[in-house]
Amino acid sequence: MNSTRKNLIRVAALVATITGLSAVAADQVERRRPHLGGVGTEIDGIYSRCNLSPNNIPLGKVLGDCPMFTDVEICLATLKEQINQNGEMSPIQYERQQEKAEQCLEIFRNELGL
Amino acid sequence: MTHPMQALEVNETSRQKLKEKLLQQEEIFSFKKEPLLASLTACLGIQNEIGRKNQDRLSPYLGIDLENDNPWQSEIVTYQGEIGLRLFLKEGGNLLPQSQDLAYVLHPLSFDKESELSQIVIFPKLIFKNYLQKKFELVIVRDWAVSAFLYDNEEQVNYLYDNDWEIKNNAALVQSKLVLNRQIAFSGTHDLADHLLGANAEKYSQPQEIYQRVAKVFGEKFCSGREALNQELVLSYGIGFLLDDLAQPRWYNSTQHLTLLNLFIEALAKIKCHSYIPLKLPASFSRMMHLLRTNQEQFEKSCSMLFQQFLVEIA
Repeated sequence: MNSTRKNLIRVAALVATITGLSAVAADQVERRRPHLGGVGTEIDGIYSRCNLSPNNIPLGKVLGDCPMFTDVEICLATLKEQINQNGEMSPIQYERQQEKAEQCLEIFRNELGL
Repeated sequence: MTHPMQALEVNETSRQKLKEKLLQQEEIFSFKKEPLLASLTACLGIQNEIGRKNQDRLSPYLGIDLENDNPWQSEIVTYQGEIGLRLFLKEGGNLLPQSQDLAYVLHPLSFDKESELSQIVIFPKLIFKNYLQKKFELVIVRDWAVSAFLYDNEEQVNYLYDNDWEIKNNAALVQSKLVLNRQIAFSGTHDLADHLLGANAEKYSQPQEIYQRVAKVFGEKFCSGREALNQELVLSYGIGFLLDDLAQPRWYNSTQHLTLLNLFIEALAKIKCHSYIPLKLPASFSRMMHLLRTNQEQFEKSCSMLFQQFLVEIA
């Protein structure tokens, strides 16, 4: 079984356990997709940082080894799962860090007049 | 829409102070050393490009096409001591992520109560932390950031296009340092979309030997104190161009890129003549790079000939 298929099965299992995500409307997905990677603007000269203009990105080629998803629901579910896996710190650690961060931000804002 | 973040107004005076503060920094500085300064810089850089047809590389990864007017609204925000950026669609609606790696980028506040991706909320320092775990260090390249969005409008450099600024300022020197140290500049949509999404440290560093050769030749050519020849600067630009490609997941360790990079390094190492050429890229450069990126089979057949043609044009 190739890795893409394994990946799809893994994330499909995740989708089943996460509620609330099935609400992504199928027609919405279809409505947007045809625009992706469609014929865009003509290339005028060379793009030094990438080969195509932003609105002419051939999705599916651009990402290289980055796992691609053919289903936005699956992608959303995986994103949420991964984001929720961020390590939690203890409440005391968290509070101390917050306090320090707020103080630093205040100093920075004053310095730049923000 | 209500959200727990606070909007941060960055007026012209603040931008000027930011520019002054940036110019006091080292050429390359990390989010670790200056988290708030680096975060604000990254947010302003992305904000400057988002929705602009010939600059925005991120929107397609969120299911947004840029055929029409700029669909985005944005604001710099603060939240729990962090500086971040909030992007949302002017006409509302949800976003359709196209890459799993957006999980390293998006903050949970991006999702609404219905678990839909209704906005993009990013905090660059948190992204820096996530990529440290992937063995990358995100940095700000001072002069790239300043020239991209803190110069006056007419002087701003669009890094997506070939530009004289990079040739004249020998930007490839910085690029060489970045690839050697596995650092990724993070101050625009190209950095995020083309370098961060799909990033893999092991694959990124596979051409380490050739990166060291580049650094050695650069050291010999550009650190002796004499003024660089225009030929050298043009060849150096080509090297920087290829290094930037090789640092993007889609071209990690690309044989064709490495072949061409070797030719550029050899040519730069050998160059001795002092003939004057204008500080411009010849037409053959664009043709060569376009073929490299779009038709690798054809490129392999004609690589040597194309490069010779390029050398003749800069002789």
